[in-house]
Amino acid sequence: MKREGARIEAVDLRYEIGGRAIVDGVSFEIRGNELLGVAGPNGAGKSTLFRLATGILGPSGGGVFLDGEDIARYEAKRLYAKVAFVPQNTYFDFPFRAIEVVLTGRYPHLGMFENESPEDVRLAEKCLGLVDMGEFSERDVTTLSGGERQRVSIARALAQETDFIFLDEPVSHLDVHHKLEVMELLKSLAATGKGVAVVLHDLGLARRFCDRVLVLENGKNAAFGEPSFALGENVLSSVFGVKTASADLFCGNLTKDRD
Amino acid sequence: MKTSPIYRKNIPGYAVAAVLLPLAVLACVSLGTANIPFRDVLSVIADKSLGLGFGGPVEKSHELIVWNVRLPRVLLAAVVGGGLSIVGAAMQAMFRNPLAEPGILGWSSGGALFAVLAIHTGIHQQWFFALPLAAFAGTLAAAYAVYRISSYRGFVENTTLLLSGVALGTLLVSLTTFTLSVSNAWSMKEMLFWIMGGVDSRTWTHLAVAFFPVSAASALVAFHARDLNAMLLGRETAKTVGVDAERTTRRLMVLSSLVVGASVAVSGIVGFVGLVVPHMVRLVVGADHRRLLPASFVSGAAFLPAADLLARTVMEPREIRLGIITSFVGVPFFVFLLRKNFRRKEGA
Repeated sequence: MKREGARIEAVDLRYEIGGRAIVDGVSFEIRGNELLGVAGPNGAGKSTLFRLATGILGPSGGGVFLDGEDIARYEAKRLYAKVAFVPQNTYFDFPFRAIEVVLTGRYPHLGMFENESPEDVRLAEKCLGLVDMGEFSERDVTTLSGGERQRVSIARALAQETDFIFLDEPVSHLDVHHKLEVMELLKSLAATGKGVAVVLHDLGLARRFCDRVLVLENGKNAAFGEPSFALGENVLSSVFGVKTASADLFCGNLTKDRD
Repeated sequence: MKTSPIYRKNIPGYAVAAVLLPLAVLACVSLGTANIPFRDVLSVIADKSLGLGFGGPVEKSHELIVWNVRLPRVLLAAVVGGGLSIVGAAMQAMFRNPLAEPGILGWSSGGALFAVLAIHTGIHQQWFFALPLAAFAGTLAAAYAVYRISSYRGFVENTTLLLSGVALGTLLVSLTTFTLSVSNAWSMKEMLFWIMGGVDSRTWTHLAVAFFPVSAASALVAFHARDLNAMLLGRETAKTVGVDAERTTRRLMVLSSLVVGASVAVSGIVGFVGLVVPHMVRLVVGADHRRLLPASFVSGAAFLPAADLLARTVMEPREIRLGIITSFVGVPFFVFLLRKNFRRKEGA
């Protein structure tokens, strides 16, 4: 079981490539029972921030602390038994079956020469079921559509059974039904005590589902807090250049307020 | 609830391999320009290796053919075929490129160049393992060069990988040809041996030179099966399940180079084995490397002696180069995979 008060804290994170700051002094935290949305215009540094937060990239400055300990000091297996990541795009070039892909999520929990147990296989099948891919367990993943691949990739992260999951645009390729279904799933994961962070371009989904929202602009923290605040009128106008006549941030309700 | 084949113990697969592989090897020893009865083959092997005399006396010429000519040749083909196949499978995963293979990526050409240098400087006579070690160094140098040319921050660009491999391979073959042409031992036959490899006129010594490096390094490659599974999901996803793709790639490049180097040192450049065998095997056992790697080794160990059997029988009494046979099988297969790749890109 997850300990009380698990959290990830990112402090003054910086990441530079060739002297240019992609992420420039961002601080935020995720509690072990919330759904955190991360939004911002293209190129704001959202994906890089997630790579820093999950230890895929090492920061140029600042640090990420999991339960008070710098993740740079975690051994890989120990870290990734607690933190999972779903990338924006997953390409499958080789004919794995869906279940085999999901089972790779168990690797951080296995010994060097240990193979997956029947329990692991059952868990993997359950995770496929959670993303509505239960029927696809034996399917060759190279034959799946973009949205189906994305859901297999989410199932893989779920099978990792971590305290925290970071998902980079997990619903970008999904139809509207599965979009809502995955968001409800993430919400319920947060309710059962996982910390879930998700990059979303759909501000309507962010406002409706997330407990808190972090808005990035040019690598900097533009707003962090409750959706009503972080996606308030000022932020929408200054960061995204849109305004709305409605409290519902459905794209059809938005109009551009600059060119 | 159905259990996944991952968990299912793969007894039938091992049983099939344990029966078929020795049978294939024995068949390849038995068949040829002079067909030797299976019984004679068995009795020579039993007599020579275990000192068991059964089945009565065997013609002296048969004994010579079986023990001195065919058996080392067939076993060497098995070792080389197995090694190149398991390495091909591993390369395809570590570069996430279905077309990766020691021949195509120029690795074998690096091994051949250094092997030729070792032979023509005479250092291979000083020490038993000097030849495979030199070939290993050449393979590793070529592998590393191609990797560096085609990777940026650990990401390997697929097209650049293939193009730089082919280009560097061509350069290395030119250098090999040049080395041979300025050395005293120059002959067309020698040159053909290295460029269009083969296992003709190989002895027990050649087998010993290749056997130990190939089997040891192949076993170590097979231990990375699970890492390779994760690496096929991409470098970042691999990292978040605890697999450092770059470090594993570097380690596997060293181990694979040992296999390829030792193979090339005794058989020249035998192309496309590492491409054809893993893809065929994948169709049967799937993509999980815990099954794919051992199955590729076993299948390659059966495939190459069979290809060699063709090489020595299709144009009887003349032999054709083994490398020609594997190219005949491999190139159409390569084109097929290339086209399939285009289609997939379009569909994605």
